[in-house]
Formats: sequence, structure tokens, C-alpha cells
Amino acid sequence: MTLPSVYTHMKRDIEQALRSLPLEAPSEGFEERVLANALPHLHRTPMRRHAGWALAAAACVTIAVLVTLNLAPTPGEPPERPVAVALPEVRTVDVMLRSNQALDGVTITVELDDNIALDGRPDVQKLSWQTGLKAGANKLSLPVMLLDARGGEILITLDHNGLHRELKVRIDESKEA
Amino acid sequence: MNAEGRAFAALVRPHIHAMYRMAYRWTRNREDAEDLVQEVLIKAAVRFDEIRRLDSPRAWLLKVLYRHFVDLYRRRQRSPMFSEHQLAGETRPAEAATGDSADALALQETLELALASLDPDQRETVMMHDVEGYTAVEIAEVMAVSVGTVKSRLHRARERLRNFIGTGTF
Repeated sequence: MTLPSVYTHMKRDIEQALRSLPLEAPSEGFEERVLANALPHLHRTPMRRHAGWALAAAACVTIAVLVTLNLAPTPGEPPERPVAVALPEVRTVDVMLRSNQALDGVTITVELDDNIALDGRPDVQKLSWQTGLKAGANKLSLPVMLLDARGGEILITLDHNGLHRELKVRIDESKEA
Repeated sequence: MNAEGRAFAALVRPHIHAMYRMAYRWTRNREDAEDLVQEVLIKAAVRFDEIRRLDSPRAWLLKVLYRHFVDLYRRRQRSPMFSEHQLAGETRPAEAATGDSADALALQETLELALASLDPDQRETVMMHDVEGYTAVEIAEVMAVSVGTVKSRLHRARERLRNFIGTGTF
């Protein structure tokens, strides 16, 4: 068959030609392997504590991000650095929120990209609650897990009497073994 | 495997091969296709309580698969399906092709070049509809577009393919 006749054939029956495109079979044991890798993600232990203020130091490795709750963003605020989390592990991310005075009725909202979840609450992408802040540092502990290697962001917002502050925490996959 | 694990496997296993096929059609790469399916299954496991209540887990799985693929595509800034060296024929197995096999190879290469001339949205739609047999309604749900958009993409893609094949050039 010459090329012009190939073109004629394809023009006459493009769909048939499309259906004949080769498909490389998956590697041996693919189905069982992907299932086995997914199963450990089924049984997450319930969160031992709800997202909230924890004053005690966490036992696990934590990462602190500082934000100052002032009327305006503070110049020279520490940069928001990415947090590395290994798949499929859970890592506690401690977010330090600093207030220059005690505040009541602060609304805190935590929003997760769809490939980030809180341990024990995989179906929750947004949490919001009211709490008080003490003067000085307040720690928000989030047990974070990545659902895939893409990484994502956690958006934390604080609202108090018209004051609004936002903090984004980037979560990347840890390349460490 | 405990009861929960068996329930999860029973729910997703019937769709693994279909997901792989679709991922392979989009990526044209076995490793990428397997990685995409793996990511979707991990997400499905985490959200098992949610998807076990769905009427159609397959639609959910394919939708997540497509979103993961689009993210992959955007990360690479071009479709991995038709990379430059693939277009140059460098990834072809080094084998002598004669007679019918040469015709088949020419046909396949021409078709791949024709597909490469399509916009990514058109190409991915053609792969779902004309290659894997999904309906326009299913594709619309997976790609989060209207059925009319799917049909429009298919119409334009087929027109483009016909024009390409008719002239043998882009």
C-alpha cells in the first residue's frame, strides 16, 4: 500500500484507524501493585486532637511558620517556606500565630487543596471555627498528609473585627527516603 | 486484607484497566499511565467513604484521572503524548519494516502526526470518544465541560484529521 493509498484508507475510515492505535500493556503485577500501594491509605487513625490551639510542644518533627496578627502585615515577616511531607506519611505542621494582644472571637479558617488532607478527616477540605488568641505565640497544629506527589497549599485565614490576614503554607512531597 | 480493604478492592478493581487504558491514550507512556492510576487509587482510598456512596465510582475515578493528567501536562508545558523526539521517530523500535507491516507503520505514524496537529483538548476528546468509546455525556462529566463542547471538539478534530490526511501535511 502506497502512502497516498494509506491516506485514502484513513480518510475513508478514520475511526477504525484510531481504534487500531497500539496499546502497551501495563507492567507485570500492575493491578495488584497499585491496589497494595493504595490500601494503606484506607485506615487513617482518627485525629487525636481537633485542629486547635495546642500549647505543648508536639512530640513529632514540626515546622513553625510565623504570622503576626497586626492591623497590617509586618515588614520583614519570616518568609513562608514550603513544608516537605513524605508519601504516605502524616506530618504535623505547626503554624505559629503571634498576636500583640489577647483577642477573643477570632475566626480561623483552614482550607486545603484537594490533594492535601488532615489525618483522620480525609473528607474535610475546609475547617472554620472561633477561638481566642493569647498575647504572644499561639500554635495551630495540623496533622497533614499528601494524597499525591503534586503537593499543594494550605490557606489559613484569620478574621477579627474586620481584620483579615491570610497565610499560605506550601506542602511539597519529601524526596527523602 | 481486612473487610474494608476487600470492599475497596472490589469497588475499584473493575475500573483499573479502563483507567490505565485511558491514561495510556493520553500520555502514550506506560510509566506515566501507571503513575497516574496509582495516584488516583491512593486518592480513592483516602476518600473511600465518599466514593463508596456514589452511583458511579467510574465517573469519579476518570474525572480525578483526567485532572491528574492535565496537571501533568501543564507541568511539562506540552503534551508528553507527542514529544519532539517521538515526532522525529526516535522512539520507534529499531526493526526492519516491509510489506504489510510497513503499511501499518506508515498508517500509524501518519495518524499520530495527524493527532499531534490537534489542540490538546481536541486530542484528548478524540482519544476518549473515538479510541476508547466513551460517550459525549461521559466525556463532558470527566472534563467538566458541556456536551455541546465535547461534540464541537469532536467535530473540529475530525475535520482537522480529514484535512491532514487529505493533504498529508499539517
